[in-house]
Amino acid sequence: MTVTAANLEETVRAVFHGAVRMDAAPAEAEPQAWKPWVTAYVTFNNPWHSRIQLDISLDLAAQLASALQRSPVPVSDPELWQDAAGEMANMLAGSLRPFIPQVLRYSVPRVVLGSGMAGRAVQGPSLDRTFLLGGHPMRVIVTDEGALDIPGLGPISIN
Amino acid sequence: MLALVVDDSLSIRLLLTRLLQSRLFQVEAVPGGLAALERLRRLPAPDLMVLDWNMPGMDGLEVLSQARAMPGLEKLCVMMATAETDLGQISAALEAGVDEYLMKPFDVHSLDEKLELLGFQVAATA
Repeated sequence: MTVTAANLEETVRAVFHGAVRMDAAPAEAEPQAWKPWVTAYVTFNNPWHSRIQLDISLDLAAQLASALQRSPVPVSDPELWQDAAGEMANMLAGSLRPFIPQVLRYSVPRVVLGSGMAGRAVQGPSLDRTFLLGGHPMRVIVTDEGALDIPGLGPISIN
Repeated sequence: MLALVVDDSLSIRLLLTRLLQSRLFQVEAVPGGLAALERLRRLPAPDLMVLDWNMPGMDGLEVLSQARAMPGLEKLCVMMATAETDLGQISAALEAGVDEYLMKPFDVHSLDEKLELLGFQVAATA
């Protein structure tokens, strides 16, 4: 089985609705630059080094932290904002795992803060989708960094 | 009733602590496997351990394996709370001695359902 645009979108909707009761709708336009931003990603240990990556603004990370806590008041601790972004990437990875072949394990989430254009450099074939969540853009990328034996050949199906 | 929450995510530790406290548990929370084992060596023994699987250092299955070998913890109920949705992984966890499996994302209703399956009487205060 492979990750397709359709099952990526379905998984994103289900995970965000289940975790934070927020509806993730596919966005027509690519996100504009936002700053500062948070990237959270999880790496799978398959031969393609598949990775799920979540790029969001710090404002959205704060909103996710409050929603994850079911907190009626805004969560003001930046550590929790980053933790919430990482946990959402972790949940996406767990839900996408059945679609990604030959995975024995996946990493704990890593979180990177930055400014300017969002996103770590992406190598290899990837699915890249932008959503609107709580009025904020959110970019979700599933990527293969390349097979060890057959560069560029991975499980991602782009359709 | 005493619950031990083991999760490297601060958000999840806070969430589970609040939900379990609202179900009349006393709750202690630790951020990893080694801290969990250290706590399990002390009294009082928890009635319930809610255990994440994917953690840095020692993962949940290793914690479970060592906890199951500890004297005095024969009645400890272990609920694995994890984002893992792969059926093979879930089977592996159950075979390793997990009593119940709580998939992330979860809500209070699925937590209540699992607590009841484990034999805890769920009485919400909020």
